[in-house]
Amino acid sequence: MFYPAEMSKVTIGVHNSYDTRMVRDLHDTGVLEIISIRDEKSSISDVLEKPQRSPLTDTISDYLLRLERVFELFSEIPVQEESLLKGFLSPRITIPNPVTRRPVRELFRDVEELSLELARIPEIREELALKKEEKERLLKEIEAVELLKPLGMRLEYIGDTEFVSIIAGKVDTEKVPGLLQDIGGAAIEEIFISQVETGNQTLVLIVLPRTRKEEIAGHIRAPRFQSIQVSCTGMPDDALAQMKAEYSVVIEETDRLLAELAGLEDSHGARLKALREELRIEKEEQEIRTSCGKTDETTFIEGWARADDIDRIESTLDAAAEGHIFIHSGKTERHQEDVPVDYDNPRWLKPFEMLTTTFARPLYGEIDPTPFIAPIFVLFFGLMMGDAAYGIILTLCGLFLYSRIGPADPGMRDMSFILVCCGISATLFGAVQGGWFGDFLPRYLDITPPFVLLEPLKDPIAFFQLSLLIGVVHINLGLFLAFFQNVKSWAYRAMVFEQGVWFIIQPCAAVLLASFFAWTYIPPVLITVAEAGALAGLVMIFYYNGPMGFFGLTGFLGDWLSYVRIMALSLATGGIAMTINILAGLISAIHPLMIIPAVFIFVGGQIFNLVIQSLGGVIHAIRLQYIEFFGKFYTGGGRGFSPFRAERRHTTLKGGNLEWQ
Amino acid sequence: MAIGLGAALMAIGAGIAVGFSAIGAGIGVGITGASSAGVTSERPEKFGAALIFSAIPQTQAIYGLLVAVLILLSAGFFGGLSGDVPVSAGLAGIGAGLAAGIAGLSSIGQGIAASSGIAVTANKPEMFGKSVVFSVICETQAIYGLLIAVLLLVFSGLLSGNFIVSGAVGLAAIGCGLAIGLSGISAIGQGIAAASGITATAENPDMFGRGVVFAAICETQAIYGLLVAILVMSFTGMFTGSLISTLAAGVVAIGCGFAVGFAGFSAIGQGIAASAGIGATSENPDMFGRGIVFSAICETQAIYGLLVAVLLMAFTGLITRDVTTTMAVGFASIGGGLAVGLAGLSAIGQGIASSSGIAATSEKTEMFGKGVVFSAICETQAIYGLLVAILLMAFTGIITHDFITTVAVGVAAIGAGIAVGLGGFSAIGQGITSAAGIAATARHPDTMGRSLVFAAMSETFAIFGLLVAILILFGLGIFTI
Repeated sequence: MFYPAEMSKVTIGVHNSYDTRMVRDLHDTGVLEIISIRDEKSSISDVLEKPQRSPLTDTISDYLLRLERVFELFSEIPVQEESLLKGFLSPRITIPNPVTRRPVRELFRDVEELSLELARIPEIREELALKKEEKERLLKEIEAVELLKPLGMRLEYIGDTEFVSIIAGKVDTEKVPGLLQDIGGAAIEEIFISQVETGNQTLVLIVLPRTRKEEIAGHIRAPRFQSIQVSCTGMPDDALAQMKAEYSVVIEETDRLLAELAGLEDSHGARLKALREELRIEKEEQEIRTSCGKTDETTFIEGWARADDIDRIESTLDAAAEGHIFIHSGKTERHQEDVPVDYDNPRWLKPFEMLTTTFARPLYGEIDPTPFIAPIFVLFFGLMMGDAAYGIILTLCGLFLYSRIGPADPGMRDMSFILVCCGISATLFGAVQGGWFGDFLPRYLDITPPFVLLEPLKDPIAFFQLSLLIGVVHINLGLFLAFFQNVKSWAYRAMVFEQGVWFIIQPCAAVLLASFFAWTYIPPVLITVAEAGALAGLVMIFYYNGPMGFFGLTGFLGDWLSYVRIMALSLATGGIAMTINILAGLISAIHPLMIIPAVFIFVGGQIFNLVIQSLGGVIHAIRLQYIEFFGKFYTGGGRGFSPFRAERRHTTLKGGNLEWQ
Repeated sequence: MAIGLGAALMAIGAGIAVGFSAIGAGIGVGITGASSAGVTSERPEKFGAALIFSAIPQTQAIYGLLVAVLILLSAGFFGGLSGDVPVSAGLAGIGAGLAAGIAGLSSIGQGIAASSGIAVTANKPEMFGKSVVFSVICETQAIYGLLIAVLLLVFSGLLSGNFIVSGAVGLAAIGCGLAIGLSGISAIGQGIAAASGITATAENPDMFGRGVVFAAICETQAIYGLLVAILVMSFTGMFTGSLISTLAAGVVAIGCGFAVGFAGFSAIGQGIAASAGIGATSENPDMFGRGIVFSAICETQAIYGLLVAVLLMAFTGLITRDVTTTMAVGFASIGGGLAVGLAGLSAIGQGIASSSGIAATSEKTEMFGKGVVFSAICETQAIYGLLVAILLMAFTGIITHDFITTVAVGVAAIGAGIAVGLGGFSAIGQGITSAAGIAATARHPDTMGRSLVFAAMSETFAIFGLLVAILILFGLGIFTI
């Protein structure tokens, strides 16, 4: 728990006839991070051959592509506009299909079978495309006919007949005079032009002998003259009615097709997803083969695993290879570099690992700070919130989120667990600080809150001293952890000059301050000892750090004073809540009816305060860990452990997963 | 009408209200107007939307005008008032003017946000609503200012004509006005963050929520200011009518106002860091947590300001009314308030360094710890300010309730406060160096030590300030009392 998990480097060699089973079982067990033989860090690459990529990988990719196309089509099914909140609060949980491990040919056969069953799918795809085209065509025609409506003439007349050309077009109104002038310039006598103005566009109709059409062709071109062509016949209103009827038929048919598609998705969707997942897993296993080393008869694989998983690996693979296997493993020393890091915390501590990872994963040889920051973060948050009513609300929110969204989303599950812990802490410390929506109880209900030990607004000094005391303890905990790490790695110089010096200076400074302020009687002998100790400490600091040592002193002071934020924030929570209560009281005192807006102000204000103080509490509680605490002993920067694992969401292995759980 | 000193002070209060808010609204609308002019030249059809955005920063001027008119009304400038206005009421009028007026400078932040809003809405009309939301976030400070101004006018009886103000309450009102007014400048930081939020949301609509969170972080300073203002009003008895009578208590309240008010400027630094945080998070969502941590670092100064304000109220007997403060203590409080408040501007330097830290961390995750170290360096000036404030409280007997200093010593303490407080501005320079130091360390990790040396150089001037402050205190002989 206090250190990352111990890792072992493992080398496995197996006879070629068992290599598929070995890869498969490793994938299902999911506890080995594989070092590729092509990686420069591999220790077996010099002596073994590097296998080439198998063509089977490409075949699997092809089949996966076929499945993807089906999913693409499914995505066109319109999703019901569920309210976002509803979707967030009741996420759909996937029920996995139970499957067994099958040869890859079987999977291909399954895809072929399903493709036959879903033979309608490519047909539906084509029909949908056709309908879409048809829809667009109709829309364009309808638009054009709408424009021609003002003419009130039969649509089939537009165009060329034996003797006459009838041309219809759309022109910007301001350009019409120019157009007429240009056409007039052609000096055609038998010409008829009609205009219907609608806003800043004008519909222009030109009727002239067909033989003379060429002469004005140059003027009636885009962009000035947008010619309108239609393919339908009859009066505009009739044509429109007919087209609109056709349009609604097309829409109906599209909906019918989509409904059919949705039906297919319902019936086959789960199987398709399961098949896709199985194929992906097969593909990963094919691809990992290029990371193995080969000889004529054997396959070798190298990797990292948790030391406590080695037995599992050995027994599983031994059974798989019927004894034709060689496994060598050795625990890795803590001072080794480039070892992957996996946390080793009990279940109740696991959700807090994200707090450590956000800053930096520990190095392999470093202390895992999670068991320290988890309880302290929760403690600080509770002290800073200091309101029991807020704490209860937060706990309820956390429980709600945990039960609703937790099953579907592990990240949210961890966060809601932390929220519940913080909420309980806030309730406890809130009760102790006497905060129930601030001073609502004593102010309006004349109830004295129970269990009160220390109220920040009434006795800020005591809280101030408490915060500083917490600060001293926390900082020294950090120094002690650093001291401990230095002892273990025999870094005696650092131990003395980076931590030891503070263990000397602090008590000496405390004694000197106490005597200076006359807080308590100190025998002169002790004062002399303290003075000597402080002087020695200063000398050590400047000797080790040079002139920059001065900033070490101010830095330490700054870190210590930084803890007064615990007091400040708890004061802020209580103070703002009190302010809101005062405001609500003022408003309601104006008139009996004003109780309604007063209640709104109370509820709105308290919610606002809850949100702001929660945000502030999280930020400042975590900041004290990251900056003041980690700064003393923690570096971080470890590489995450990513084992070769078959991720299953839509399938589960019948007969139980081999995965260690 | 008979003009006495009280009415004259009210006139000054009215002038402050409308004057400062005019500065704010003028600059804010000016910034937005420049953007609007540019947009309408390319897209004339956006004139209407641009007009709306330009109107948003104007509200502060209206609040200022409103408060000015209310002050003049209650002073009887619009029609004879029977009876003169007492000086204490005049002081309360100045307090109200400060509250609405200086908080009107929040318009500058709104202008920054709104100008970004116009630019984005010109290209993407669907961003109109969200841009307005971001711009309006920065309005809250002005609303707090208006609220406090109105509360002061109501509870001092100014609006009704029954003046229930004592001299102490009048001075305390000035303290409230300073607290809420100066901390209203936090809106400038909010505006910087909100402008960044608008551009990020335009490119990536999922950033809306997180952008609002980053912008809202910078609101805490205004809330602390509001808190202190209301606490002062409460403890001096304005709400209940049992007014405090010791004049010195009012002077202490002015010190509290300086402490939390000037420290509210730290939001500008937070805003700079938050705007970088928004940029980093929109490219890499994993940067959200670290961006928030970097932004929150700059909040420490505001916490110190709040802390000193509350401690002053607690130790000088304002809360419990069991001790009577002396004017010496009052002036010493002003000194302490200036020390921690002005030093709070060091957060601007921290914000500059943090924004660089965010940029470096989004490219190289391992730079997080080092970036934090560089940012934390700029915090020492704030520690010096806090230290001097605490020393003042300790050695003038404030902490032990044993008020033994003379008035002259109290006034001299103001000098010490100015020395260490203004010296805290050196952190802005440190922040610029640290920002470059972070970038240098990201390229070559071994440059860290040397960059720290360069950054530490600006610190020497803050140390000079601290030194002089301590020498002043030493020379006053208060260490030996």
